[in-house]
Amino acid sequence: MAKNENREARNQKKANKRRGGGLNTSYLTKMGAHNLIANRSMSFSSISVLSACLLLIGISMMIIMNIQNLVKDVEKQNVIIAFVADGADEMTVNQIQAQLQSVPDVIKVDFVSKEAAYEEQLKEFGVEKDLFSGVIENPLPDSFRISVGNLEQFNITLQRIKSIQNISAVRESQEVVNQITTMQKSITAICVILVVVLGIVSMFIVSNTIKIAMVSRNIDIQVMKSVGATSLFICWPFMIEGVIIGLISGVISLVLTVIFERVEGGAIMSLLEMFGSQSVGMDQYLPVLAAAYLVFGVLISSVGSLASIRKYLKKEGSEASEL
Amino acid sequence: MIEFKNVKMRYKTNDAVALDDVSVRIDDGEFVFIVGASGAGKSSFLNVIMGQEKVDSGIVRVGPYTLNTIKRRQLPYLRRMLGIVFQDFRLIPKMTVYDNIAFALRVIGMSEKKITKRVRYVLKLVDLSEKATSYPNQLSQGERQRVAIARALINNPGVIIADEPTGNLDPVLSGEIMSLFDKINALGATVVVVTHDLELVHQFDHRIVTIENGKILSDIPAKTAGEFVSKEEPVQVQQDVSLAQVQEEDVEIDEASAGVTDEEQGQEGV
Repeated sequence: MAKNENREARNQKKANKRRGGGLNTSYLTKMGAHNLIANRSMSFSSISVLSACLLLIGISMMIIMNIQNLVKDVEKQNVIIAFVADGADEMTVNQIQAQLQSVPDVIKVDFVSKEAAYEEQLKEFGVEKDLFSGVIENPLPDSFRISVGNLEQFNITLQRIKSIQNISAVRESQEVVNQITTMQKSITAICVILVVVLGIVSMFIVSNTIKIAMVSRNIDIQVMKSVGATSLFICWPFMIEGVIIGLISGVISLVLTVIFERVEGGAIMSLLEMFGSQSVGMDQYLPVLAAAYLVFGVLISSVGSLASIRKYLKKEGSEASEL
Repeated sequence: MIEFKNVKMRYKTNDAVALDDVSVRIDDGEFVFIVGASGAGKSSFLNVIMGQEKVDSGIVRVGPYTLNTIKRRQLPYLRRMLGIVFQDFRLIPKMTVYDNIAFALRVIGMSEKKITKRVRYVLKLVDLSEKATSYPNQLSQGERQRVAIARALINNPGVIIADEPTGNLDPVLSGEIMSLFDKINALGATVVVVTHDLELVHQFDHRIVTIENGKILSDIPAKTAGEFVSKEEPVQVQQDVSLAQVQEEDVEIDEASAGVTDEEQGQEGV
């Protein structure tokens, strides 16, 4: 019997195809667009909230991107100076250099002889060499300039360098490094939480809009079911409605983000310059941001729509009319 | 064929008995009145046939489908075999008469050319050709019900199910609508009409199944039922097109020779 039923369903599908095809997508898409206009007040509120959420998500992304850029810049600048103990011969210096190069997260090791350090120091002071001609002996030791890659492992790297024999002392800016790393972690965590919370809130709001649209069109849906509409046929216009809401919100958010960057971009740049970094230019990530807005917008509103539709479509007969 | 075997069902909302050991068989081409007082279980009977309610026990078969085990994805195909007419018409207010009827064909993805052709014929059948561009709120109650019947007929269903189709109509209009169902039945469709209007039922010579408290109280076949037929002649609806013609036309539809004008196509916009 079940086989007969499946056969009957298949025959009906074939018959429908003979009659003119499957799903009339252009008609259903028109219906979706029409619904958006018909429920204009709810559509407007959905678009407003979703745009605001997307904008905040975009700004969060911009902040994360700039902080990551700042951290990279600091990483590039980050140099530990390891001083070689007095009396170390050339062979010892070479051994130390080899050991330093084998330390994990050490990107670069440059040897600075005591003479070179002395000249550099004089240059920094901006004085003539002759001024110190009275000084009998160069007081500076030989040293290594060590660039460290991963700031999160900075302390461990530092300890490893200190433990190398014939390293008399090290100079580093651990305080700054620690602060930046902590700040990066906190801001990233806050932004991620913000993005997730706003995403969920947006989804609920779009879901409610679609739910209200479905309830207000209960009779239409009951008629659709009674004449044999498939779930896909019933869902399609609502999904289109959700997708259009997502797309419009994405575009609005993008425009607002560009305006925000133009207005507040200068302030962000000067803040970053304080740390010796520069803000990431919008032209570098505008296509990514635009894609992210559209994808997020469509995804959030589609999931929101689908949640309402699925719940609603499961209702049959008296259950459906109670809604 | 519609068959109920020892069907029991309770309302989900209050657990009251809706159908109590109901066994009945309606053969293809029959015209059956389901009568009974409000709350007797008539609408539940129809809801089960339409796949809107599941029974607690017993077996229900509609055509090739056993509704006890029917899958959700099969329900649309079951419903395409049925033409359903509701007491409250259930017309979509924002759609014209044309679009309300065409909607049932758009659901199954029929091409707009064929839809135009078929809707024209069905509108003629229910004598509403001149109202194609009207909206439901511009129609009388009787006209609205005729639109609902046209929508039920448009897909050439084997079974027409009507839930209190004359509930909102005066006696003259009720007679007209019932005569229309009679005509549809004469053309081969199975017709199941749920009503509480016994006076109207007795104007026609059809099988009468009476339901009370969810049980079948009586099942009077057509010939016997004829003894109760009123002396009054049923009201005849003027028709110049038959359902058979509609079906014939549908078979003959040729994309090239459909002769659908642009103007007619233009009526379709929702």
